[in-house]
Amino acid sequence: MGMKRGDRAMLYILVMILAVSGVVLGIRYMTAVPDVMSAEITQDGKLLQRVLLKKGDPAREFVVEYNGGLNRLKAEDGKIAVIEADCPDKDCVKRGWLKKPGDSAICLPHRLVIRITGESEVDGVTW
Amino acid sequence: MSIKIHLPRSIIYLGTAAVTLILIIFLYSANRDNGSRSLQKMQRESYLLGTIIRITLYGEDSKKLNNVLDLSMKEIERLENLLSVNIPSSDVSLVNRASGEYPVKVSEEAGSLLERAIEWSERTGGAFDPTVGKIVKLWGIGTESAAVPDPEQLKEAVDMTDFRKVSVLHEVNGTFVQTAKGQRIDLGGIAKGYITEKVKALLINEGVSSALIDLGGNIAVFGSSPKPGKWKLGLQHPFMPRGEYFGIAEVSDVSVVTSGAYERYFESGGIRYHHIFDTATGYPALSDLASVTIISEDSTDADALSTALFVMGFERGISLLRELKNVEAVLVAKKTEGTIVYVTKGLSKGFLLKDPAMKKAPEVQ
Repeated sequence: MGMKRGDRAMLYILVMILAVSGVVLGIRYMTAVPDVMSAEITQDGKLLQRVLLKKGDPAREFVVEYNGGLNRLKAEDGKIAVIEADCPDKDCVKRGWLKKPGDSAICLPHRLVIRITGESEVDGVTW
Repeated sequence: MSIKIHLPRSIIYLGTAAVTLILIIFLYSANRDNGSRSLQKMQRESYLLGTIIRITLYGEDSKKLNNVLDLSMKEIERLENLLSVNIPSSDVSLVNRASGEYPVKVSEEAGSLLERAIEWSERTGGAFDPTVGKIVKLWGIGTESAAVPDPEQLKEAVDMTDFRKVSVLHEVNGTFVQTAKGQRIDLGGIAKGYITEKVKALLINEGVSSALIDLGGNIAVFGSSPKPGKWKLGLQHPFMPRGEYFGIAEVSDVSVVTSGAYERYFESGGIRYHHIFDTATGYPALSDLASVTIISEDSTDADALSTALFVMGFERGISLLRELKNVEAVLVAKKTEGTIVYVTKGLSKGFLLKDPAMKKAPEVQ
C-alpha cells in the first residue's frame, strides 16, 4: 500500500490520541451524570447526618428526635422522604420524595432540614 | 505513484492535528471548570426569627467568609432581640407592655422600622398594619394554642388595630414610641425584610462581592450569580408542598419576597385558617390571590408589600403596583377560568412559568 515507516508511526500516534481522548471523554461523561447523590440532614443548622442516595438501594429508615418530637425518614432507590412526623402541620411529610439536587423538606417545629446536595436549577426558593 | 502516497499521508497529518486540537479543547474546558471552583462557596444554615435561615457567600478567602458568616448570624440575633414580639426584653415588647401609659425609649433601629411600617400602612389604607398584634395573638397561628377566637374578643382586637394611634417621637435624648391602650405592635410582616437589608449592608461592608440571603423564604441576592447569567429563584407553588415552585424569576441585586396563605395555618372543623389577617375583620384575609411575590431593591418594602397586596387582593393590589416605581410583582390569581399568573412588565422577560396548569396573563403595567 506504499506506507512509509514515518506514516505508520504517525498512525500509531493518531490511534493513541484517539484512545486517550476516548477515556477522558468517558470519565467526564460518567462524572457529569451522577447516579449517586447525598442528602444532608441538619437540625438547628447543625449537620446531623449525610445520607448516600443510590439508584437501586434498598429501603432504610432513620428517626430524628427533637425535644420529645420525632421525624421518621426513609431513603430508598436514590430518593429520600419524611414519612412520619408528630409536628402539627406535617409540611415535611406532605413534601414527599426528594429526588433531585436542591430538593428539600423542612420541618419548622423540629428545626429540621433535609436537602439533596448538588447543582440545582434554581439558587433558592422564596416562600 | 507519488500522488498515491502523498494523499493518505496528508490525511493522517490532518487527522492527527484535528484530534490533538479536540483534546486540547477538552483539557482546556476541564481546567476552566477547576478554575471556577477556586471561587469558594460558604454557606451557613440556622434556626432564627422563628424560621430557617440560610446565608450563602461566594469569595476567594474561605476563612474570611466564615468570619463574615459568624458576624451575620450575630447581627440577626441582635436585631431579633430588638424587634421580636416574642422576646420579652425586646423594644417591641417594652412598647407593648407600656401601651396606653407612657412613651417608651427604643433603639433608633426599632423606631425607624416602625415608622417605615406606618408609612406602608398609610399607602396601603391599613391593609398592612403593625398594630395587628392583638389579632395575631388571639389566633395563635404557629403555636400549640392555635384556635378560632371568641368573636367578642376578636372585635375588641380589631378596634385596637389602628396604626394612626401610634406615635414615634425623635427627641434629643432618643427615640420614643407611644401606643394606645391595649395595642400590640407586631413587626412580623416587615422585620425579616429589614433584617435582610441590615445583613446585606454588613456583607457589603465586609467586602463580600456576591451573596444569597434567605431568611425563611425572604430572599435577597447581590453580586454575580455563581452560574452564568442572573440568579435564578424559584417561587413557591401555592398549592404544592414547600420547595416546589411554579415559576422562576431571573434577577440580580434585588430582594424577592413571596406571601401566601400556605405559609402558616391550622385547620379546625374542616376549615383552614391562615396567618395573613384582614385588619378590617380580624379573620384570615379572604384573598382572591393565592400568592404574591414582590421584587424590589429594598427587602423591607418587598416584605411589607407582599403581605399588603395579599390582603388587598387582585384589583386593589394591581392599582397600588401601578403607583409604585421600581417594584415588580408576580401575582397568582384564583379566577373562575383557573389559576392565572400576572407578571409586571419590568419582570416579564425575567420570569419563566414552570407549571403547565397555570396560565400567564398578558403583562401588567
